[in-house]
Order: sequence, then structure tokens, then C-alpha cells
Amino acid sequence: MVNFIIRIVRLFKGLFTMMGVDYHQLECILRVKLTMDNRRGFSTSTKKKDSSNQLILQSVVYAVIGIFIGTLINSVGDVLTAYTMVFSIVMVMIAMLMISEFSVILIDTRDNAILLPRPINSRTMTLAKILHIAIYLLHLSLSLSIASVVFTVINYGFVAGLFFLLMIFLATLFTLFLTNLFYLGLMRFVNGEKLKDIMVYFQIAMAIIFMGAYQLLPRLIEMNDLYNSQMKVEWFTYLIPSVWFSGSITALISSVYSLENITFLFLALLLPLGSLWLIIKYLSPKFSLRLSQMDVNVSKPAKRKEEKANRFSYSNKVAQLLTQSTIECTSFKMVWKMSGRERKFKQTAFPAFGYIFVLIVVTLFQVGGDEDQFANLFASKRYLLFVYFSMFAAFAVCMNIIYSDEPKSSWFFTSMPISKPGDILSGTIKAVFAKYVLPLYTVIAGLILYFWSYKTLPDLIYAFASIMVITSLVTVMQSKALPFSKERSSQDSGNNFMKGLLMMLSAGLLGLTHWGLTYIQYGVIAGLPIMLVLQYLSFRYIKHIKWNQIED
Amino acid sequence: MNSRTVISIKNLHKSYKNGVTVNHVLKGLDLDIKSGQIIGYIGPNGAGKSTTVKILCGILTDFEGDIKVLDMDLRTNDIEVKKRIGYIPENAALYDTLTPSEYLQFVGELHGMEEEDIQTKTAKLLNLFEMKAHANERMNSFSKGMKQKILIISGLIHNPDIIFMDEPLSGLDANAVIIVKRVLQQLAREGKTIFYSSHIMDVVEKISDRIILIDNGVVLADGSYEELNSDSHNESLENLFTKLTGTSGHSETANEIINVFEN
Repeated sequence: MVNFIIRIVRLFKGLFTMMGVDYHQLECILRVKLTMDNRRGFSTSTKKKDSSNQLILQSVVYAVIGIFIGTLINSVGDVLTAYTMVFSIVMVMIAMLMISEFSVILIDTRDNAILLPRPINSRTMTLAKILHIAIYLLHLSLSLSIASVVFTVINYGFVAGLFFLLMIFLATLFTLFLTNLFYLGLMRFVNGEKLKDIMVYFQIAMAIIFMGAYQLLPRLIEMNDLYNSQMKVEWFTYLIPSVWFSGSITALISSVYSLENITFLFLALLLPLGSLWLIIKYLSPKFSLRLSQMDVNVSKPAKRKEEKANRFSYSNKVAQLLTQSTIECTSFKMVWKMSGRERKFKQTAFPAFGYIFVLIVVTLFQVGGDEDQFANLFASKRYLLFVYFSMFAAFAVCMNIIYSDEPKSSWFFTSMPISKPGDILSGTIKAVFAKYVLPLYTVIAGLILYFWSYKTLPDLIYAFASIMVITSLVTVMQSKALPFSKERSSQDSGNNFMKGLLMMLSAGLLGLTHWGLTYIQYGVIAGLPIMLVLQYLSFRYIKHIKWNQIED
Repeated sequence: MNSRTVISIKNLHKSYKNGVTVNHVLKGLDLDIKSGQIIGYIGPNGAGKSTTVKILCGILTDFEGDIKVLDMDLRTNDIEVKKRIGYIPENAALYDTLTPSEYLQFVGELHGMEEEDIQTKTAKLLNLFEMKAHANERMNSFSKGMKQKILIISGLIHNPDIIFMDEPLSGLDANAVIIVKRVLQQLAREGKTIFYSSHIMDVVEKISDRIILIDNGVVLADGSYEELNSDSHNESLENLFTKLTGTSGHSETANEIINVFEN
């Protein structure tokens, strides 16, 4: 793949040399950058894969997602509306993917020490960076839109397909410009570490959007309204970039060259090319300058430190309330603090929280907009389903808390005079439950109490206790590892599959048992003390775990 | 061998902005560095050592003042300057999904070296640094010391006239430290200039022909170890450093720390 791309770039050797670029250095930088891209894993993946075909794998994944986008061309009757949807989705996805997937490479401060001290002129450096980004973006946008090209060719002919490709190219260019502005804006206000934190939240948002799109798109496409939907062109429509491109292709397909369509065509051609000029002339050098200063430590204002100290005292209070021994309390506080800062933990555990709301929305979608059906929903015991959805989040935080990018830092656990490591595990589970699961559960429970009735309260307490019992037991049975003590690459797919299966089975079993109890008079209330005793016993079991049972 | 000025720094200022906060790191630095010398560049944390090195290597470009390297203005002739310098950074900044062979090939090509020359030198240097067995392994599994060896090779492979080093010995084993120190002394004898920034005082004391101490963005002391020590009686560089930076009272602090433990 790398050689193929380099061969294409080589076709422009003469042009680049004429521009004052040292072609040999350019090819050298591009080859190394692409090789590194090919060897890195997806940002949404939890593994540090070292396989060497990541670019091809990415293309396939995005092409499959692209099929869903492409079907819009046939699912929507109005050409302008259909293509506006396609361009909007493709542009948003490119921007989000660029921020989530490509940030690691774009904001790679190693370049400061490796490339900047070498005798590379600014034109070569700028072009190498722009070409690297352009290759990545084109690979991304072509993969995402290949299905749409096929649909366009089938529906409107070969010329329309080619024109669509040109529009995708221009839309990509304009997205690059907007993303560049976004980066520069962020870099003006935040330092390197904070910027990386923000990128993690983008990655989490991406994971949730993918899940949401996967669940909701097919349901959306089934709707008849979508086929008949039609977009009206108002004054503000000219401010929406995706409409410039869809308007242009509509002009070609319908052969209507009205003032409206010509304006769209004009905007679609002029603004992306103008933005390219701005990127080369101003944005790229400014970006490089900001990047060169990113690994410089500048002390933070004192106010921020004070705020954090206050937050810490809050976690102290919660720890004192929920823990019984000093070790358990210390472990609770450490996990509470560190889990909020470990980027990889957030990246893998947090999407589950979004998935829950996606699942709730999907369930409501199935009910539809019918008032009678909603009344039936609130009369049913469907709320149990929503309650047990939160188990996914509980599993996600409990199972990912053992992983860290710097597992060696956990040496202090074993060097400390701790006789009962089970206290560390129980403190850990309590911390993630208190910090992450409880707030989520409170939101879901609040909604249930509001929409169903206060009568669901025993169910809600029972469900929380049972989720806690099963999640904690399954977590320690799966792996008795200390928090942040294992390398993420040590996860293996087979094991993950088993964990997922076990999680699904236990969630289903718990839900069914709970559902069954609701058919027995006072069943849930009678089950509540049993569940609380089980909870006590499960923590007793965890607390008695010995050093020889702890995984290295 | 006749020494000539290879680095001339006049009234160098540099500040960093972080939102509304401005941090003045270098406040009018003046230096003249001769060829064939090992310069020990020392100072407390945040003194401006790494910033000076990064400016001289062309990494940081927005500075105030005049800098000439090898008689060339750094602002206008940065490419020519970069062809003749080598840089060994403080952190193990490597593209670690590459192998040492791939990485050194890349660095050599950027310096315009012939492929055959790169391969010959890479093979020999990796062998001498006991890294031959790892030549084709990806560097992401390497220890800090192994990565440091690759960084040292990558800073020297193109035979530069001036070598900038920022804590170059960190993570190296004892044998590698001795080898690198000898290499630096031999290179200096051949007329090359070594700009050696470090916190390890005994190494700086032993290998440097001239020691420059900076603090708070200005030069506090400049001279050979003997010159710096002329007013004192055989004091170690560590003690001189303490005196000159005005951070005395280490014994009292140490006692206080012990008291905290014991009470």
C-alpha cells in the first residue's frame, strides 16, 4: 500500500521540484510517515497492534460504513436532499475521524526533535505535512464515498459519478480547512496534554456516533417519510457547506442551471480552493510554530490546582463513607483520581455510557410516536430493560480499570506492606461504582421514577444491588489484577469474547430473575434483603483474595 | 589546532506564551563558543538550557537576538547550519514503530548521505554499540538505554561539526557511558565542538573544557573548571553549582527531611 501511494506521488516529482521542494527528502519523509501509519492500530481499538496492513483494514471498515451512507442516494427522492445528507455525513465523519484518528500523528511532538534539526527546507517540510494529511484524508473520504460513487454511476451515469468524486475531493479540502482552524483555535488556549485530553473525548464521541449510526440508520432508512423529505433553499442554506456540493451535483444531474445552482457551484469551487491557499500560506506554518512549542512545560495557574484540591477532598469524603479499611480507602481514592486522568481508560470505558443512551433511544424508536403505544410502554415492565442496560457501563469500567499505558507504575502495590490485596480490589470496584455507575444509574432511575412511578423504587434498589453483586463477582473471577497494572496489549480477542458472553448471559439472567420476581406479590421486596446479603458476601469474597491469587 | 568561534550568541531573548501567561526563559544571553571544545552547559531546572539548545538546532525559531553558527546567520542560513550540526535530544524522541536500520536510513537520507555510506556506517555503529542483534526489531519494545544508543548514533552518523547533546547519557549502561565519553573527547580533539547540556555534574566536570552555568535565563558563570574553582579550594562542581545558583542550605533541608520521617 505504501509503495503504491509513493509511486503515485512520484508522478508529480517534476512539479514538486519546480516548486523548490527537495523531492528526495519529501519521499523519504512520506515513506516513513506512511509506514508508521500502516503499523499503528485504530484509535477506537484497545490494542497496540503492530500488524502492517492497517491502511487497507481501515479502508475496508470505512467502505462498509460508506454503504450505509450511499443508500441515502436511493432512499431519498429529492436529489438535493439526498446528496446534502451524503455530503453532510461524509464531511462530519472526515472531520471527526481526522480529529480522533489522526490527531496522534498530526500533533506528534517527536517531529520537533527528529525533523526540525535536519536540513529540510520549509517548502519540503510544509508539502510533506500537507501531502501526508491529504493522502490520509483522501484514503478516508474515498473509502467512505466509494459506495456513493457506485450508486451515483448506477442512477445518473458515469459523468455524474466523476463529478461526485470531484465534489468529494473539494468537500474534503474544505473540511481540512475547518479542522485546521479548529486545531489552531484549541492550541491557542490549551497546552499539549489538555489538547490530547480533548481528543480523547472526540474519540469517545466517535465511538458513540458509530454505534448510534449502526443502530439507528437502518431504522431511519425504513421510514417512508425520508423518501418524501424535501429541503427548501432559504437564505441560510448558502451558509451550509454540504449544500454547496450537493447543489452543484444537483445542477449537473437535473441539467437546471438556475442562479441558485450556479451560486452553489461557484461556492463549491471557489471556497475550497481559497481555503487550500489559506492553509498553505498561513495555517500550516502557524500550526508548525505552535506545534514546535507544544512540548515546552509552562506552569499552570494556581487557581486550577486549588480547584483540583477541593475535588480531591470530595472524593475523600465519599471514600470514608463507603470503605472500611485504610487500604480499601486509599485504593478507592487513588482509583477515583487516576481513572479520571488515564486517557486509555476513558477511551475504552466511557463509550459504554453513550451506548446505553443509544440503546434506550433505539428501544423508544421501536415504540414509535404513537401515544397509545407510549401509554402501553409506561404501563409495562420495560423499564427493567433500561435499568439492566446500565450493567454494560458497570462492566466496562470494572474490566478496563486494570489496564494502563504505564503498567509498570503499579510496582508500589507489591512493594507496600499490604497483607490483604483483596482490600485494593474492593476499594477499586467501590470507586468505579461510586464515580461512574452510580451517577449514570441515578439519571436512569430518575427518568424511570418520573415516567413510570415511585412504585418502581424497590425494583430500582434491587436492580442496583444485583448489578453490583454480579459485576464485581464476574470482574474478579475474570481477572484478579490490581488497578492500572496490566498492559492494554495483553488483552486477547478470545478472552474478550468470553467476557462479553459472560456479561450478556449474566445481564440476561439477572433481568429475567428480576422480571420473574415482579410476578410474585412482594417478590422484589422479599428479594431485596437476599440481594443485600449477597452483596455483603460478594465483597467479603473479594476482600479475602490473597496475593497468590493476584495476576502479575 | 587553531580554535575559531563556531557559535556566537548576542542578546538572546526567548519567552513562551500560555494563554495570558508569559514566561521569559532567556533574558539577553551572550555566548561565544570556540571549535574543538566540549562545553558543559549546566543550570537548574527551568534555567533555559533546553531552550538554548533547541534554538541553536533550529527547532525554536521565534527568538530575539543574533545567532551565528559556523559564521552563518541562523535565521537566514538555517538549512546550511543544520547540515553541519547533530542533535541528541533529552527525551527518547524516536519513531519507535520503525526498526533502528529503518530509522538510521531515514536520518541519513535527510542529511543527503549516500545509501551505501548509510548502510556501512549503520552496521558498524550498531555493532560497536552492541545493538547489531536488534537492528531489525521495532524500537517500541526497546529499553530507555537502547533507544538512547540509537539517538546518539542518529546524531553522529552524518559526521557533524557541532554536536548538541541534551542529557545524552541518561539510561545508558556503564560501558556505554565510558564509550560515549571517550568518543566525545576524541571528536573534540579532532576539532569538533560538543555542546553538552546536563544535570550530571561529575560527568560535566570530567569531560568539559569549559563550563557555562545559566540560571533564570542569564549566564551566572563561564570558564574552565579550574577557573571557576580558582577562588575555592578544590570544590566539586556540584558544590560550585550550589554556591553560584544561591541554593545553599542543603544540609539543613536534608536534616529537616529526616526529621519529617522520624517524627
